This record gives sequence, structure tokens and C-alpha cells, in this order.
Amino acid sequence: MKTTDEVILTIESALELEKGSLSMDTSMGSIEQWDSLGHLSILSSLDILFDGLIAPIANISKAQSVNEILDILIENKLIEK
Amino acid sequence: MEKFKFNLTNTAIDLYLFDGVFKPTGTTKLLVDSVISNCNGVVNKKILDLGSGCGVVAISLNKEGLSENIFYASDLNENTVECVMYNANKNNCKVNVKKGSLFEPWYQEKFDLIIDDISGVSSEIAEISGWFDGVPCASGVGGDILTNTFLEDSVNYLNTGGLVFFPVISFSNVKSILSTAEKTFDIVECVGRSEFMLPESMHSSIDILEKLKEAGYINFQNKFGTIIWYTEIYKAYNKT
Amino acid sequence: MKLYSIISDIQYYLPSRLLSNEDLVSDNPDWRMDDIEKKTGIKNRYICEDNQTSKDIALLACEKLFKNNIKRSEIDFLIVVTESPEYIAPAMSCDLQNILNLKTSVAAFDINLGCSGFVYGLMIADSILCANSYNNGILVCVDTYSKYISPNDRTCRPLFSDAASATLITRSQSKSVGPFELGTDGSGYQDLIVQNSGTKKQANIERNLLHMDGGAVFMFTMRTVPKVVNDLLKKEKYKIEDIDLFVFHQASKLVIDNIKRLLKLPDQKVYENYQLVGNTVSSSIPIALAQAKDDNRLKKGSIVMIVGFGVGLSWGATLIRYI
Repeated sequence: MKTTDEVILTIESALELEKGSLSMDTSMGSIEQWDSLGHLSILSSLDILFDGLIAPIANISKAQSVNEILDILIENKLIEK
Repeated sequence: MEKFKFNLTNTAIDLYLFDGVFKPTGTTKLLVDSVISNCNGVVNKKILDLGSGCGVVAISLNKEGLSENIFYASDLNENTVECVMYNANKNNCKVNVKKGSLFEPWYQEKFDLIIDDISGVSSEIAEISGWFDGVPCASGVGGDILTNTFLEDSVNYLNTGGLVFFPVISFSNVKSILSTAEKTFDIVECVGRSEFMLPESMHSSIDILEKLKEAGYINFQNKFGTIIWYTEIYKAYNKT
Repeated sequence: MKLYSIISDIQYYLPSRLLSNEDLVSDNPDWRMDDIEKKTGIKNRYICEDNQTSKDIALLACEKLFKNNIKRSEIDFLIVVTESPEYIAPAMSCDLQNILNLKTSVAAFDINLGCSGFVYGLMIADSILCANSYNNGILVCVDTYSKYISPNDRTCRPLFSDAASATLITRSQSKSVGPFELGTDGSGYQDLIVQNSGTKKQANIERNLLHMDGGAVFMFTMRTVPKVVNDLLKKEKYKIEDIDLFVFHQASKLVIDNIKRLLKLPDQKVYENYQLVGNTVSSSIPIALAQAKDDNRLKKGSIVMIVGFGVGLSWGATLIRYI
């Protein structure tokens, strides 16, 4: 199972942010880098992190904040509750 | 000297960090955003950034048009005076920056807006966090000593109708700080909140965090297999 | 005798007006174009003039076909794949039949599909040729999405180009095209939609405005494309190594890079031209095939898999053997 830290690092890397710069409520549109293309980068990077297990999750594209992404990953048993 | 970009609403500013100067965090960003969104249309006012670090808050508010041509800043740290002047110059801002503890440098001055930018986390957490690398943090085990003193003194440095903004971090004694604020001001309201994950640098110190929480000095949530803490930004003022 | 179909010729037309990344920044100074270009991979888009329609550019693509030896009288059917016709009715293919001076015994009809449209059109053309005494058909793919996109739409404007293609499909005694794998998931119909464009009136929504939920469409491609590729390979008992070239709908760099990653496709097996052409919707695959041939990526005996996917949500894939 991947850790929450790995997920956050992945999102930060996808958005080309400095480590530690995301808060739990950082969301699409709240920072410049997380626009519609940034969102695609996040989805793509998460799919790489989880070895292709993200693509089948239909509602993950609707998760538009760090909190929401983590909630969906927990729902799908991809990270610890 | 480290260079970094700080994003504002419509632009970004370049800032430089001298050695021993506090590096802005998510709390800093939340503080700036909350002040900008909650200033009741205040522009061109006399603004004091107390505990300014590299000057990020003051310069940001100046760039957003909230402060007069000149902004006011102070910090205990030796290096920050030079750092703030350097950043102000780089960003075409005029600054009146002084070295000193809390309101010490501002005797008989009054301001329209005072921003508490001083460290407000438990000193034990400051030690293990890596946030205060070379920067002093004498906030006490509850992280409330400096913030409480700030709140109590700030009324003496406010113009009529003046506002105070201060962060409250869950890695501090939130109850103590809010109680002091409520005793000092007529109105105390939360105007911003962000949750954060425990930084990797603190993972090996979870037992220290648990002890501090048990003793009532700090608070946090166990979620997503990690620790989630928060910062809230409060706005306080007296009725006129 | 069993009959088959073969692609005899592909011609295309790109409008002369070029919309570069510099032009986009000039219109939208707050856009970070270097980031947009890095993720979309697109440097240029072709945009019709204000008074230039899908019919105008479809006509130009078709006329290019007629310069290459096929006579108008030899055309038996005309299929037009478009989501930006001049009118809702009549079908644009009827109008084109007349302007192209094709015989009146031509079967002409439109297909309302986008990025999967070429594959569907090819399937229908193949079926017509295999089942009838017809000899030649033209499959036109044409879209002018620029007319639906708001100038400050950062999701769509950097991606889409206007274009038309005309593919000549001929009856053959050797198998070249097929089999087909097709699919539809209408639950995603709102993920890529031209709003307030038909008989359903939507108050407070601008008429004929393209809306794309980029995240939803992206996840759809990641879920669907690898599966349809593997299903088609399985159908023909092929492996990836047996395919000489994959030509995907040229959605964007991010989409194609992820498909390559999920299918573990080496770069040299995948044809890409989105960089200089953009996303031309239904013409995307035929233009890529034509350019692949010009670039000598296709030779006699090459086996190509084409995969279209997008608006609907709809998808289709087939194999083309170059004989």
C-alpha cells in the first residue's frame, strides 16, 4: 500500500511545486499550477504511482482537492484510512 | 541566499532569503490571502507586519494595494532587517523596518492594520519541525506566550477602527490564545483555515506530538494514516 | 467471391490561418503558455476564417482527391462525418454531392461523431462495399470546433484545430481493413458537449459553446483505449509486436503519452503529429495516416492499428494492412 506522503509528493511533483507546499484543502483553481492541465498531470502521475490502478476509478477525476483525492484513494483501499 | 516565488492573486513576487531568516510556509500564504479577502475594502492604510521574516506579508499587501506607499515591519532577528530591505528594494516597495521584540520598536506609533507574523507553535514542535532552522522560537511549550503578549499589547498600537490579524496553529494551545483574544477584543472571527499533513521531517517524533496532545498543549487529527494539523486565521477588532 | 475494401487515397485540407502559442498569449496574457505547450504538446492550430465553413474546407479536401485519377462519376457513396455542419438539416453530404457534381445515384449521408468518427465511417464504408455492387466511396471527416470555442477557454482553445479530410475507399479482392472493435459509453455524454446547440434549449448557457470536462475525458481514454487495443489484438490473434504502427486519435501529448505508457509501446511504434497540426477531431486519424505515409512510416505490408476515441463517449479501432 502506498503512503499518504507518497501521494502528496506525487501531487506536488505533478504540479511542479516545492515539497511541503500543499495543504489538505489545496484545490483545483486555488493555486496557479492546479488548473485543468495541472489536474490531468495529477491524474496521470497518480496512475503511475499506483501502477495503473487509478485509471479504472470512474469518479477520481471529480476529486478536485487534496482531501477529496485522499478520500477516494481510501475508498478504493489504495492508502491507509 | 535562496530565491523563491510567492504567488499573489494576479501576479507573483520574487523574494530572497538570507541565512537564518524564516522561510514562508502554507500558514504565511493563508495569512496573506485571508488579510486580502477580509479587509473590508481597506486600501492605502498604515500596516505593520510584526515578526516579518523576509517581509513576504508586508510586501504582498503592499503589492495588492492595501498599504500606503511605505510599509512597516519589524523582527527580532538580526538578519531580517537587511533581508526585508533587500526584498523591498527588489520589489519597488518603500519600507520602514526595525529590529526588536514585539512592539518594542514602535513606541507611540498607531496603525490601521497589524499582522501577527510571529511564531505561534509549541517550542517543542519548533525544535523538531525544521521550520525554524536557525530562527529563534521562544513561544513556550504551548506556543502561546508570544501570541498572547502580542494580542494584549496590540490594542495600544491600533488606530480607531483598526484591525488585527493573527494565525492560530493547532500545534499550539488554541484555547489559551483565543481566550486572550476574546478578553482583549470585542469581535474575534475566524476568516481562513487550512489543514496540513505532518511533514516528513516530523514522522520520527510522533510520540512527542502525542505527549503534547495528551497534556493539552496542541491538537491534531489522525487521518489518512498520518497526522493532520491546521492553521486558522483570525481577525479581531473593537467596535467603534 | 468475398469482397473487401481498401483505402486508396487520403487527402486533407488545413485552413491557412495559423493560431500559434504566441497568438494565444497575446489574446490571454495570463495564460502560462510554456506550461500549456509542455502538457498538450501542441504548437500550432489551424483555424477557419470567420466566413469559412466545414462545407468549404470539405470541398477543398475532396477536390484534391479528384486531382488524383478518380473520376466523379465513379463515386457511389459519400459519407460525411461532422459535428459542425453548416445546417442541422439537410445533411451536409447532400449539399456536397451537388457541389462536387457527383451522380444523383450516390448514397449520401452524415454521421454525427467526432474523434471516433473516422473508424465508424470506415466500418460503414467497408460494410457498404462488401455487401453491394458499389466500387468507390468517399469518407469525408470535417470539423470546425473553433467556432464553438470561447476565446478564453484555456481547456479547449489550445487543443483544437479545424480540418477536413477526404478518404477514397475502394472495393478490393484482398482484405485490407478490419476487423473493427467499437464501443459507446453514453453516461459520459456531458463530458464533451456543444451546449445549447440543438432542440434542447438551455437557459443561461451561451448558444453553441463547447464544454469539455478534461479530467473525465482523460480518465475515459486511460480506461478505454488500452482495453480496445488489447481486445482487437486478441480478436485477430495478434500481439503488439505484430503491429508496425499505431495511429491514435491525436488528442494531445498527455493523452498519447499515457496510452503509450499503459500499453508499453515504444515511441517508434506510435505516430504523432499533434505538435504541428493540433487536435483535428474526426480528421485526426486520416491526416495522421496521410502524413505517416509521406514520412515513409507506412510501407507495403505494414499493419497499422488506428484507434479513435472521444466525444460521446465513443471509441473505435481497426486494423489496416497496406497492400
